[in-house]
Amino acid sequence: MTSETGAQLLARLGSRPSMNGLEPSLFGAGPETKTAYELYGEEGTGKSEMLMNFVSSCILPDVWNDLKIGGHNACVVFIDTDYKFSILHLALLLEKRLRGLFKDDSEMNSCMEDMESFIKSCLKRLQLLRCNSSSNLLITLISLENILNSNSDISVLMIDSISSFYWLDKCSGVDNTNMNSITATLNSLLDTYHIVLFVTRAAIVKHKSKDGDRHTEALTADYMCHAWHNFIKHQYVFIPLADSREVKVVCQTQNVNTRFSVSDSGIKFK
Amino acid sequence: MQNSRELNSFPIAPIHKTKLSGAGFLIVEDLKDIKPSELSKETGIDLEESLEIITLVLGGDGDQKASKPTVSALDILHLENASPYIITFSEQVDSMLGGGVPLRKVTEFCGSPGIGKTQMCMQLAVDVQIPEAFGGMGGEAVYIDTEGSFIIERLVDIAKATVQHCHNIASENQEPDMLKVMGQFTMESVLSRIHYFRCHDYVELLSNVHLLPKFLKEHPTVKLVVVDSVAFHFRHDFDDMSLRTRLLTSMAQSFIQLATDSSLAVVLTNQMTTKVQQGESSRLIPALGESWGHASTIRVILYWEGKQRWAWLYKSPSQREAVVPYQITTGGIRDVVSSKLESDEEGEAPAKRQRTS
Amino acid sequence: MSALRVGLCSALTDTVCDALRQAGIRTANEFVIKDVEDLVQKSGVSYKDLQAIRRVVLAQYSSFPQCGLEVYTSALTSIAILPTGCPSIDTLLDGGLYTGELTEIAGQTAVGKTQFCFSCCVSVACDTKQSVLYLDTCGSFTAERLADIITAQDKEQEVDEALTRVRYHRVSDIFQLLERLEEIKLHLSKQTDQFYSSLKLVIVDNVASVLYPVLGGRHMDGLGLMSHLGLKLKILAVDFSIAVLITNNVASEGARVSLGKTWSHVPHTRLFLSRRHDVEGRPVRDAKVVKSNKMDQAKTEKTAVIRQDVQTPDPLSILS
Repeated sequence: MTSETGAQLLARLGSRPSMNGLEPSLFGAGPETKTAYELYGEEGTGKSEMLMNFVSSCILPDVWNDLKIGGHNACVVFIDTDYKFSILHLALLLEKRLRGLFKDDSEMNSCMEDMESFIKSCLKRLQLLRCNSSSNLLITLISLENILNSNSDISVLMIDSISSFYWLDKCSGVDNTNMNSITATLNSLLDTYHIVLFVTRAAIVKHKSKDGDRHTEALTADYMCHAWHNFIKHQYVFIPLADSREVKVVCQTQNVNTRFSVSDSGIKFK
Repeated sequence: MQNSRELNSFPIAPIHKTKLSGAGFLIVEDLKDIKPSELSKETGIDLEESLEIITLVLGGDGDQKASKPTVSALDILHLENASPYIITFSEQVDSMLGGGVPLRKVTEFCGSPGIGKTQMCMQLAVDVQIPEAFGGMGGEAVYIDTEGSFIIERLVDIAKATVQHCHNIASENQEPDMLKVMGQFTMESVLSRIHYFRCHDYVELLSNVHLLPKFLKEHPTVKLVVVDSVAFHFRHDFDDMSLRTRLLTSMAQSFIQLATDSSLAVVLTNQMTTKVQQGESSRLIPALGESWGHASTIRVILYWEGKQRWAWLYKSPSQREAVVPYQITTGGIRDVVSSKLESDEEGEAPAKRQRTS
Repeated sequence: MSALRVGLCSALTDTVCDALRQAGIRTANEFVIKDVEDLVQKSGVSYKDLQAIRRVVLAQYSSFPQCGLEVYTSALTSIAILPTGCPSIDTLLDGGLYTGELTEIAGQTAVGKTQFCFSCCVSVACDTKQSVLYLDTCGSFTAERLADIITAQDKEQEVDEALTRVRYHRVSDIFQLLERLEEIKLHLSKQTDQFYSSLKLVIVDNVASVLYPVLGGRHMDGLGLMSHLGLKLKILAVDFSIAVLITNNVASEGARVSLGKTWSHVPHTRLFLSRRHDVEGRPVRDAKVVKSNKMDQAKTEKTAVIRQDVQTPDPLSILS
């Protein structure tokens, strides 16, 4: 057994910022620690946008200059395997969210100067990593111990998306070996550090249902390895609604059935 | 950096990729300093194939690749300016195409039966041979016939007319160069310089296309490859549409490769098919579907409007979309004499979409 | 990632390497997932050496975390927006093509995808004086057309100079394309060639031409190659801050892009071009952004009507 320093012990067992109150429409009281949440859906259903929404809630503080924001003041580790993460988009989201909170223009204008530096200070709470293969992702996850040990403010780990390397692995013969190890590593990170995990998974494999293309009870194609599907405690399925620009979100284990739309200032639930 | 390229991005058989990754060989670096015998022992791939894999992966990194020249658009421009066109004997069609059928490109003529696709191909196969003294390119042609529509009598007519045309120019100008080459430019010589292949099914067609590079090496003066028609064997009896798409798109790549590597013109013909759209009247579109639509660089649709034949430049990277009339005479493809056109058309612009009622 | 090789660190000697192989460990990831104490038992290598190797392997093969603020500051300075040469499309795309992004332009045959690529080429090479690399899989590149577009803008004297800033590669299959991309990255990291140090735009016209021939059939190898290509294109864009522009076909019914579900996730931004005839029977093109991470487009789909015209400075000029 490796010896632990006092600081490490504190980081491991000390309380990390709570996620209570994050997106009540999806999580009720809030997402539980040591738990893996999966956002599953087709291209353009707003999975990544939803993660961005979570990131901004996490890294914003609860209160700023008497302004009640309702953020969590937590640090986030974001692993981008899709090479899609846009920091400018996140910064813009933060700005729009803040602007929406002011009662009137004069109040907002008085804060405008501070806004930029405030947003920058929030962005400090984000750690971004990019991975280009499942092996790279595995080794990166293993090395996360160091970051999690040294920073007790990290409450959330996000991966966008877990399915990026699926076909690559499938076709190069690596198949599920890396994915099994990744799942095991994630599991141990959650247990050891009491953090929350959000991952997106793209619907890249056709779901063969007996009813043809109709959305029925079985909404997803479980094409990943068994270990992964056992690891995911709650799966949120994103379904595009044909007639509107809204997206339906269903989670059977949490009894969630809601809908949202992506607006100028990010995600809006109905 | 250079050697972190993944082995699965090389053209290695899937079964070998699995064996390589299973034995821990994942990137180029992993194969450095490995002997074929060691690789064979560790992966279970046989010795000969191990050698092939090592050569493929490491050999490409050596001098051969480094010497591959980079070409600027300016180099291409000079190349394009220096490369001639194959004329069609219809000035209007030629100018619509920017001077004629270009070398280094794939040109497709689409149209219903009897519109003159084969005539166009024969005309081009003759015209590519016009001696350099007359501003031609003195080339040869490869003619791949899939439908059996190649009629030698028609070719003789077109060849005779073309030879006669050149003969007239030579006697008018009394240019010694012209008069000299006329001795060798005869109807018989024209026929002897068209290499004819008949393909009865798609397998024959594919194997012919596959063997063409070798043939062209032996016949370097070939400047035109005609496939009349490319659609015939792919239109019917094809249950596996994904196989069809794969075969067609890889054949398209072969044509483009042929055109650019050997600096020649590839001319394909294609049939038309009826497309029924919901809420719209049905209309004729080129056969073989959307994925084939990208196979040719230049696409010309030939169609009837009343009694008049029209050529519609539907797609071209360098020329504007246009429609011009043409006619077919005993001598081949020709411009429409303007008086005839006016009486036919009464000055009305042609509708650009052909509709079936 | 890679096999464990002698020389990675001082502790990884021939003997240690062999001992690990005996214990069934060849690659870096096989090594890191094992418990070190177990490995001591199995391989006989000392705990100290194994820990040293583990540290090096983790450092070598894991990604490096970046602080959000650093990413933000560097993005502000490095992101460039390249005009496409078609003002109406620039408006749609929030200014033009973004470096660090993969933009896909999709549409049916003869809708003007290649013309759009040419327009971007000219705009970047001529107006912003940066380099462009053109990877042509379908043989439709025509330098004469580039020269025509430049000439139509009354910049005839700049033709030669602008065209030397555009480099062309003919690519005939997916493997050649991957090799080229690898080569580009190599040049970009070396930074010895002036051309590559000012490279801002890489164009692949058209991705479907090289992907169709490997898709389908019994093997799923094609999907692997497809994912590989998508990833490599995005890595090129993101890691080297380059705008990557690709063209794609549409599926037969015309409403969706071709290449299926896996590919649909790949690009950052997708522009859809379609062709119709206006009331006077002239052909016009509609452009529509169907995928974008820039917020304003997420809400409303914008459409621009454009017309292809060789004579005007814009190859795809605004009609209305």
